[in-house]
Amino acid sequence: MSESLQTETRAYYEQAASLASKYPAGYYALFVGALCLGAYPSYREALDQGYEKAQTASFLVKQITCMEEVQRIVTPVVTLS
Amino acid sequence: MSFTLVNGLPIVSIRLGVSEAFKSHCDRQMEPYPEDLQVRALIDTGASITVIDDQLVSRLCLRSKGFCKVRGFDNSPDGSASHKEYPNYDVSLSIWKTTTETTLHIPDLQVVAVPLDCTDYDMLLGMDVLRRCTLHFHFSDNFFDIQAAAA
Repeated sequence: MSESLQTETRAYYEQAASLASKYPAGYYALFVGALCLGAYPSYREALDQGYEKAQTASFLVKQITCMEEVQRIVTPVVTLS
Repeated sequence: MSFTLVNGLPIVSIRLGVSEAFKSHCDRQMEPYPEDLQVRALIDTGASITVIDDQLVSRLCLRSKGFCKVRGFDNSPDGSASHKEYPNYDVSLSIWKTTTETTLHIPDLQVVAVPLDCTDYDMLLGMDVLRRCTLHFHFSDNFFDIQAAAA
């Protein structure tokens, strides 16, 4: 994981359980730094709020799920070393 | 919309850009944003999420919005529980053939970026996008049709 968004990512996982109980599954949580600014029913709404509130700062948008989904990609991809 | 198979592969033309959310933000701030790119995408029913080559990240000046846990495409065993985390980005995406022929537009889509290092295509069109389409393959006749599914 790169350096950027480490604070936001750590904060999300620390608050994941409470977010899951507070918001419906599928909502998108918005983090700027360690602060959760809210959760929104669509990816677009979370992005709009992120760009408005964070301006030039980085922000994290993460879908709230009871158990985080691991994406699966069968196609072999050559990874440059 | 019909496409000829490329080296036997189902590859479509994509117009890829920054997300509409970012474009709206830039418009409000009266700031410029990168122009959309014309890229090629492999239709990949084995991918649960859409993947872009990481070189497109710098070309579109994308900024990460988080990380996705992904397994499988680093040649790890099929049943492996291991996964890696890859950065995700917000983009807009259109499947198109000519400037007047577009079949699907997704204004705000979360995609993962990895080094694809492939000359035939620049991204993998995963099931998150394909679920919104109707596909008919005619492999024996070397073409396929793709349309946006009825809403």
